Amino acid sequence: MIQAVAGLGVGILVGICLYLAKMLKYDEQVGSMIFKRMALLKFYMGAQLTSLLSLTALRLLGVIDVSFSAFNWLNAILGGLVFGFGWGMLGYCPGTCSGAIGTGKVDGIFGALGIMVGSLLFAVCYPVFSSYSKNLVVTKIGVSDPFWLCILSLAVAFLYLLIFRVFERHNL
Amino acid sequence: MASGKLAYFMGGVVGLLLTFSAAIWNNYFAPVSVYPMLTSGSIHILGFDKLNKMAFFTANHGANSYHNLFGFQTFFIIGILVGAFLASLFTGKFKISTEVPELFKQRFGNKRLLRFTIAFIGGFIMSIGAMIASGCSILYGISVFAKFDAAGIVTFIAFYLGGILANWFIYHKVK
Repeated sequence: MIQAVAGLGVGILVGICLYLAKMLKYDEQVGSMIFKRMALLKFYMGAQLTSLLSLTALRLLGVIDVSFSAFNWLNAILGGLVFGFGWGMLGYCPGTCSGAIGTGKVDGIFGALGIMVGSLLFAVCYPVFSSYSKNLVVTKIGVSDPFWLCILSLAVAFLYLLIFRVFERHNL
Repeated sequence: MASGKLAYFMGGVVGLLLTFSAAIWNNYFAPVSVYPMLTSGSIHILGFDKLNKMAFFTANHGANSYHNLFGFQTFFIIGILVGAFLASLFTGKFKISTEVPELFKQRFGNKRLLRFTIAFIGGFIMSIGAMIASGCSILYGISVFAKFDAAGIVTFIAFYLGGILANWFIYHKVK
């Protein structure tokens, strides 16, 4: 029950943020993929920067412990490219698709239906996918050392601020 | 605040919400994980429960089955819908709209049926990719990335490149 209420509360706040950042608009999402405007990257990079710095601070203080994702390079890259291709066609990711429906956009409903039908097809093909994935090397790569966490956090912050500056200088 | 700057700021707030959620409830954001559960639930409601016995829905203790539907991620995605609805309502911009987005109109004209078809196919392809990569852009791009996890960086870059590729095919002839 607590998890459900927490999910709903956090989701409402995220939905409001996505709306105010114009992330529920096809033109903004696709615009970033054709380099006309960079709102999508600005949003993601803003989120990455604050979550990375705050989570790192909590990790260094010993408040939170994280585990890294087991992944294989082939599925990550192949799946990533396929996902991105669909994302580029739909103009919303799964989360923003739900938000777009909330603002009354009917194309979001078609996108959500497509995602559901896609997961049904994947369920049918799952035994084949599962047996081929068994042969792939799974790896976990992450930073845990406090020294490197500090250095890399500063490096990412510096790099992102430089990129933000480029965006603003070119009015993207 | 200018709309361009608002994207940084709102992204920053979402990043802090992620850390808050991870610290308090040990939950990261993974919206795409809800869709297979919704599919499983729809199959159940429509009376095709035989399909719910497929390995995809029973693997990992039924993580993709409708039995796990009432958890953090489902209410998180419902929350996004409600939050977006409330924000659009209070700013006076809520409207049930079948309109074609401006960029799409420039490329294909005002063809609503084509837009809906492409949206459906896009969602379908995105879903297959999400299942292969085991996650979506918010999961890898924010939740996993925040842990300094290589999976987040590699997959998010692949997501974005896929989006660039799709839209190069669609829009490269538009000036």
